[in-house]
Amino acid sequence: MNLGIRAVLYTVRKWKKTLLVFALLLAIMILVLSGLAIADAQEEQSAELRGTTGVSFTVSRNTATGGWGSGNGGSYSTQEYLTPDMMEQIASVDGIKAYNASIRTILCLSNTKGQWLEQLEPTGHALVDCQFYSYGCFNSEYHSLFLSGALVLCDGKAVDMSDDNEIVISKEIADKHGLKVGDTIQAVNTPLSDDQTMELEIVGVFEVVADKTDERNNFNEASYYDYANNAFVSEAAMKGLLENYADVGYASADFFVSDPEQLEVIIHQVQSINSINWNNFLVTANDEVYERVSNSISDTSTLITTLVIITTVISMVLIILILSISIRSRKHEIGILLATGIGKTVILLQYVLEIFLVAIAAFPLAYLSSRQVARALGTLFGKTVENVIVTPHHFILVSVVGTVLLVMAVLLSCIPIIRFSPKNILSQME
Amino acid sequence: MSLWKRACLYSMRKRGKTITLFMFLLIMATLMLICLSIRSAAEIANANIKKALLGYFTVNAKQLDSGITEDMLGQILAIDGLSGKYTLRSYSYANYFDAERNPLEINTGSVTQIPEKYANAGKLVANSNTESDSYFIDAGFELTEGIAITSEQKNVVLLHEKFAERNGLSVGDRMFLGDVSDKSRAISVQVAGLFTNTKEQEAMEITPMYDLYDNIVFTDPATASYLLYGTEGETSVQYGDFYVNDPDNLEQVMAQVQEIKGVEWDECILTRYAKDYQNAKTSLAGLQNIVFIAIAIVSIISFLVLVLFLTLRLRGRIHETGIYLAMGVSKCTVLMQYLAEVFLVAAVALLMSYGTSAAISNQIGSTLLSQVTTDTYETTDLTGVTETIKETLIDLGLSEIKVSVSGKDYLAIWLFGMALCLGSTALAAYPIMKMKPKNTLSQMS
Amino acid sequence: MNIMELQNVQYTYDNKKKVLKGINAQMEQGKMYAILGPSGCGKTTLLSLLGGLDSPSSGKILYLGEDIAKTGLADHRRSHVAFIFQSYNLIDYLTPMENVALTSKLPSLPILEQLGLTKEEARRNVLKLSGGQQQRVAIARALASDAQIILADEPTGNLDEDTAAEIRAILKDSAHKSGKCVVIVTHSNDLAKEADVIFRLRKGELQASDRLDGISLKRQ
Repeated sequence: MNLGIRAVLYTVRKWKKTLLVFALLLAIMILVLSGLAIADAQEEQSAELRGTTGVSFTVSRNTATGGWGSGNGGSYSTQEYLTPDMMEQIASVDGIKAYNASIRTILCLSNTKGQWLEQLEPTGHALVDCQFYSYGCFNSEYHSLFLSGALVLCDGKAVDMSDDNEIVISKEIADKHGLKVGDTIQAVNTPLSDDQTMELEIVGVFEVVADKTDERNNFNEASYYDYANNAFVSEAAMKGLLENYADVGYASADFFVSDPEQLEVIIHQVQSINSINWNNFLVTANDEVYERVSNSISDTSTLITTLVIITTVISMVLIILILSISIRSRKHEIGILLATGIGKTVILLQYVLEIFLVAIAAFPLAYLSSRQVARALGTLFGKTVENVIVTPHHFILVSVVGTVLLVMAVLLSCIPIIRFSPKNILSQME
Repeated sequence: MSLWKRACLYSMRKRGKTITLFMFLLIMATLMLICLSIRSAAEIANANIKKALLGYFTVNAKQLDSGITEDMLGQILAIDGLSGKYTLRSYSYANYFDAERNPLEINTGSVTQIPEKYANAGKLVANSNTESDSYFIDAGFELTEGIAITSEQKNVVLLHEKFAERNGLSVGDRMFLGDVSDKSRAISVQVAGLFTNTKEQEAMEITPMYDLYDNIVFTDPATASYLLYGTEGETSVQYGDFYVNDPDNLEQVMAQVQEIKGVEWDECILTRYAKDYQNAKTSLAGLQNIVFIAIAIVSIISFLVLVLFLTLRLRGRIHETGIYLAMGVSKCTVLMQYLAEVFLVAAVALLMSYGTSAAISNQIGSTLLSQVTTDTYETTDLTGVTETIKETLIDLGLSEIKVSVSGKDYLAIWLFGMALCLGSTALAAYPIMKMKPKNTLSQMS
Repeated sequence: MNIMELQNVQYTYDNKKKVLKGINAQMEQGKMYAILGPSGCGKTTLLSLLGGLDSPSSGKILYLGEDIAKTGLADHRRSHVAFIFQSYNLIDYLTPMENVALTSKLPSLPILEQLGLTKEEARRNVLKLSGGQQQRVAIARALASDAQIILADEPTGNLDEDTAAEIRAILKDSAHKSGKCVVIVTHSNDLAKEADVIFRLRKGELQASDRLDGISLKRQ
């Protein structure tokens, strides 16, 4: 009688036992598959968490290696400025998700009828009260005032790299003058000069969150303006507004990286861009937040990974244990089969085959159900776990490893049988 | 023969089966205990992340006549949920004199009109740790000589190196600070260090001369307190930044602060700063959910496996059950015997699982987790270009992550483990117990 | 020609207790042999030596004139002998037909029917057959194999008198009609009476007699 038929018959006729072993295999498979999916999800989530620490590096002109000139405001550096070209080159390095640089100036804003817009707390001097401290930005979303949370965009969008003439103003000013997103206002750098007056579209409105009266924030010239009297204009618009001022340029630019772990590599890549004279520029890493939390994040990762590894190892042990129990309970049967002249190898093969029959059913079912397990548990406990997904890749990995393991487990649990001497058959029988 | 005796005999005579059961229970108990200890450790790690994201609130008490007094500070710090890390700040202007009370020369820049009383004055910045002041963090100031000022020091100042040079002052020299109002307070201070600015000041012709970088002096909060409030022996400050353990509790802690009596809170401005946490919040919650799901899956499936295993084991004993029933032993007694056997083994396994899981947990804790005791972090300037590599160690006050089995967890595992053994044995025995003795016997052969 | 021959077979248990002390015997095809003896005298040991489950401490066991130790015990077990046990030892997840098919490529139903099982019984779960029917299946399994020697250990020990008689007849037919060499280890005089040759195993020595005589019966 064929060993294959025997294997099928055993599996079918002893269906209660088979079902138990099947359920055990299924449970263990689901455990391991979910474990793999969790390990992956954890990695992804940790990367995402690391990403939220807003790690960046700043390229700024090195005033130490440049010359100095003097003017009526004191001495000033004659070091070269960062050009948009340079920034674009740097930003093209892999792993940089965004960048921003800004030029500061004081703009006088007016409505389309040419009437000056008044500051929040006017002094009474028309040409002072229309002054707004303005930043020409590549991407105002990444301006430090927005990144630090001092200002929050409450309507519309940030000014970005488009060629349009855009402006973002504060909610207070917008409310004071009945302006809203979509309206157009006028801006000029120096009124009553030959500077051009430009029409700018209000694309966004921000709210002031920070306490401006906190003198901590008064460390630069922007301090002399209330946050509400700040404005952000697009780089394209700023170029037009400052066309008469050739000596104004970008002193520094911030580049934001997606994965903090790559920061060092990216900085090295940036510094190997030949067309930029790195003697004139400094690169500083801003990864303070990341440095603070990275240890704790990696601790969490390690804990999850360890749990998954321990679970997987224990699962392997369990499979071996269960199979050896189920095979040990068939000692009697082995005796009979040996007595009827069936070889040990054939008996072994039959058992391997039986396990395969169970595994063939258990593996795909485990795959299908483990895809649901995380989600089901998540909903049950009100936790969302979108990214715990068992992929076909996991399935293949577990199937291959699982199969090898099962064969090994059968062989291992058959050791007592291999050593079973025919002499014992008769005593075993009675 | 009593059922206990039978149970003991079975456990001893069927040594192979008992050992397998023991191994199984030991492994499962160990797994569950590790699971629980990892859960607690992950909770600490999560709390550490939240703490390290530094959520804080600022009390701006500039408008109060006496600022934040030591008494008020004490009351704030007593509130639950604060990490203990805080910064105290005051800002003022001071006239600068040398040790002989002669006025010191300031940089007047391009300003032609010098305000009255400010001819020898500059901005005075007091910070409980000058290293963390915005001038040093955001404006690029760097200490070139001497040491930074902390609140432990009294009557010390940091000077801009140009100011020191202009007035022939160096570290260790003494000078006087005088207030700019009419209160004619003056205090003798010692130069603790010199600083310089690495970025040029964006003057734009609007900066008053007393705000010029050259003219700024840093001091300790106590000195500023004397000049501002005339306090002696006590320190009052204008601003306090208070860090919380869990940024989620920021609002709640702030509400508690405002309940402190005897303070005109209407005059104060409280601002919350938790941008880093807000950014990370969703991802962090996601990571926590993953931890939760991992633990949940492992626990639930472990239970399932345990139940299945005990069922499988009991099925092998139908024959024996038949014999007992035939002998007139009641079903209940037979079931009790099986339970007794499992309990005997489970008790030993649970006892030993404490040792195994503690050993494994220790290994995880000591070899896998970050070894910096996670109390400090290091910031290293990555770019060789700047040539100055600054290493700052800042105490974040993070908790050390201990992966250990707590007594509570251990007790829970005992209760749960025993309940599980009881439940699954009863469940597995149910079909056997339902059988009529006659059927049991026919199943015997 | 003798199908089996034992030449001065000795068996020592644990190097101390001599169970078999130089046994000589010949067995032929088409005959039924009974080995009688008190419990623990070494009957089962002798049977396992004949079946190639164990090898003697000294002496030779020949199958068709060849030493089975030389041709291989495993081969001897596989091709020359078939066992019948007191407790039937059927594989419980196989039907009678499938149990028979374990050892034979021939259709198993005719053999089972010949031994008195109905078609329905031949397809039933073996555990749901009576003891006699189970033993018939076990005998059918032995007969269906190519093995020329059937070794039976107390084949009627678990059966009632009527069934035992039927089984005795079947075993006898196996020897006389199917031409097998049937060796039975037993306590039962009823079974021994049917044998062509009776061996008595006493104190490790084997005494052969053609028939069971009155005197020895009394001695039993």
